[in-house]
Amino acid sequence: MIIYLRLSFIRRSTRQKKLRDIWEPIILDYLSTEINLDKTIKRLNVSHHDLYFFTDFTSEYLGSLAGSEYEQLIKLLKKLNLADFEVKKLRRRNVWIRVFALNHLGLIKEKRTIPEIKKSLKDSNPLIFYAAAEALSSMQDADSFDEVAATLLVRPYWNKIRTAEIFLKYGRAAAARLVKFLDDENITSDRKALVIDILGEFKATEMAEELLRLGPRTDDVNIKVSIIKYLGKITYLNAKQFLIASLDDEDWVVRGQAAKSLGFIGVPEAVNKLAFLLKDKVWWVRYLSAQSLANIGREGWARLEQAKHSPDKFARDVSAQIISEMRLNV
Amino acid sequence: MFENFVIKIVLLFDIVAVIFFIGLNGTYIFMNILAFFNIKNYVSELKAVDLNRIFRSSFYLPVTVISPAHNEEATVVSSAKSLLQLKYPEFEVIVVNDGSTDNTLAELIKAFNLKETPRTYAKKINCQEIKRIYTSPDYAELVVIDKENGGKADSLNAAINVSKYPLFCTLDADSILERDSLLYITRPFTEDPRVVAVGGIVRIGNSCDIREGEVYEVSVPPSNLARFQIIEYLRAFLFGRVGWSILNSLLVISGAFGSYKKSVVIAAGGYRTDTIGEDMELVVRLHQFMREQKQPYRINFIPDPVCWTEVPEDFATLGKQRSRWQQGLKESIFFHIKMLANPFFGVVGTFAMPFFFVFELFGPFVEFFGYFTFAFSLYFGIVDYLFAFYFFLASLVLGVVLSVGSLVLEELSFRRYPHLRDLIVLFFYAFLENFGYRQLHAWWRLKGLKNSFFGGGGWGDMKRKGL
Repeated sequence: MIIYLRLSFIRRSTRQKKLRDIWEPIILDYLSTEINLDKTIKRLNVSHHDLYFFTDFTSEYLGSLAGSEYEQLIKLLKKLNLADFEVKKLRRRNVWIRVFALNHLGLIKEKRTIPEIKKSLKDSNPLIFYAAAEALSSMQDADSFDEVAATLLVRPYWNKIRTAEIFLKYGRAAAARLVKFLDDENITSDRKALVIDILGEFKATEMAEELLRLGPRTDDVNIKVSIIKYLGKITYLNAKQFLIASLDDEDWVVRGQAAKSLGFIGVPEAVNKLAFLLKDKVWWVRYLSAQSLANIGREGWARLEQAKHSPDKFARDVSAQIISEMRLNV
Repeated sequence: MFENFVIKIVLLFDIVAVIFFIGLNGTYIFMNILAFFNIKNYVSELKAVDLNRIFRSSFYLPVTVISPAHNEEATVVSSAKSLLQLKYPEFEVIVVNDGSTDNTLAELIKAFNLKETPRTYAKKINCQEIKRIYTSPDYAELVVIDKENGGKADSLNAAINVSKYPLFCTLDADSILERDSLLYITRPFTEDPRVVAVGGIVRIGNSCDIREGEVYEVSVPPSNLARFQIIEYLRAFLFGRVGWSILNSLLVISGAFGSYKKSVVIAAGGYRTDTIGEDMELVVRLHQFMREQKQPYRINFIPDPVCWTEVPEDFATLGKQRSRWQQGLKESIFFHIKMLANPFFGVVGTFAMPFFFVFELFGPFVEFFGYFTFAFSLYFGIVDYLFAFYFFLASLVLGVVLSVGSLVLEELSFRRYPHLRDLIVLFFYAFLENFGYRQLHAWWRLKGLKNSFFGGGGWGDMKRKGL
């Protein structure tokens, strides 16, 4: 059985390599406009049986090409009806065939396939609805954004990193549409926190005032931390008072994140409180406060130098560490 | 009278042996089936996942890679250099010089231009005194801890205290990670927040061409012992650990390559320093801790992130290693004996722990008692030759089927051995291991069992050629 498996693998990969060797120069000639579309199709001579290989083969190009070369390749794929071939696969029972078809449709970006992809968004299998969401985000189909966001934020299964990447792929315009999900009661706080993190990634400043109002009112640590992170990322000067007040929060994550954001913004008024936090009982708070002091500039640096001779061991050690790290540039 | 008594004992043991045989092999077959579907899915998933996405993402979890070193002056620099070349967006490498008496520290200082740093840390887990911490102006990701000797577990605890990041990954001094291993092994943490630990596959690197974290050629080593161990490792990792992981009952994550959520390990108390099997003990303790805290959790094993290690090629070293593993197994089970057959601990308590207790811990004893009673039966002329023949045949066939099954899994999934010749050699060794090697292995484990109850054993020195 092992020998059979190996031999069939060798047969398959040899065939694949042979086809690749034939197709590659043709595609390169086509992309450099040395041969026209019809001639390319004729020379490629892709049989129905080889379409699976051809899909894999073109995926690599689709993933790496851009601009006119990408458009040219898409023309070729349209002529070969590759999108229809992939859409047909969406009706298959095998989950992985459907996932790969969705991935490929996301690369081909043919708008007419969007309704079919959207159907997969309703599938109960996370592998399928995530692949559909990824395909739609690759196509940057703004009309589907709300549906994608609702699927990813409300469904019980969620994958934080994939969700974030999908939202980020939609681009900056998605920020304003994400905001409304912050008021949705069906969405849990960790997902709302992710929405705020993404607003920070987009540097969506238009939400700053609203989030600054929400920050002091919320009891949810996840959300509070994300708001503080967001305000630091957009270096929002109006947030100074809220951030300085957060240095007194009983939760160490909030204190640490507030110290970090104050360092990002560079708030000299926070120097006293940050210097006080060099004695905090939590190492991370001490470390981030010291880092923040170093980032604030001359006043912060002076307080760090001063803390090196503090009677408090915590303050002494952490300031010495940050000063040494800064000098060693690590 | 005595003869009758002996005959009764022998017959009773025959029944026990058959039940034991069915239980052991039934579980293995069950694990094989689970692993088959899981690995098939995993391979498809890998094709669908863009690992570079994690590399580009700002939502990844940074990792601390910990490499403890004790008297490793010959290899420590190259090993640290290969770790610094890992492909991951944000990580630090902590090399712990665990009270070496050779030039391990001096070699590191010279090679990386290390400077003593006043780095502070929160001592959340007990460890031997940290004398100095060094960083390098040339390699920002490198941290070297110089501490009093306290053993591997103690070194890991020291590095956990000093580490900055929420995940940590442990390695053996002689392990070599493939360059993108961290991307694979951290993926479960980002995909499922319940995951507290992930084990990765350890493969045998003897005779493979591995340079600076790149595997240039994988081949089967000429040594018979190394070949038997390839079969063993494939069996243990590809269906054993994958199978247990599906049931969320994985009890072992190899110390050679595993990654953990730091906060959970600290909350559980870090590594125990009074055991020879600190890697297994930690995993069992994490199960106990998470269940007692009534927290949902997962301990996963993924068969793809690859760590290459060198295995012993001489009987003495291999025997000591296996004997030590058996002692570690005994200690891990006995430290957490309250979990045994305890439904509060779910599948871990009711299935995994009893299986490891009966079949893995006392398996060698039953096997040797079997050889002993067979000799008795021959002496007293009470051997049912037909039954004995069928029993031997079934045991041989199942042994071969299970070993070959792991080769089939390998062939269906990762195909790390590129030459058909290598596969045929391994297939041959999967058959051959039943004649001598298996019995020898059981003997080493039996010695380990004896040592764990009556003292003796210890670490011994590993004769390394280097990867």
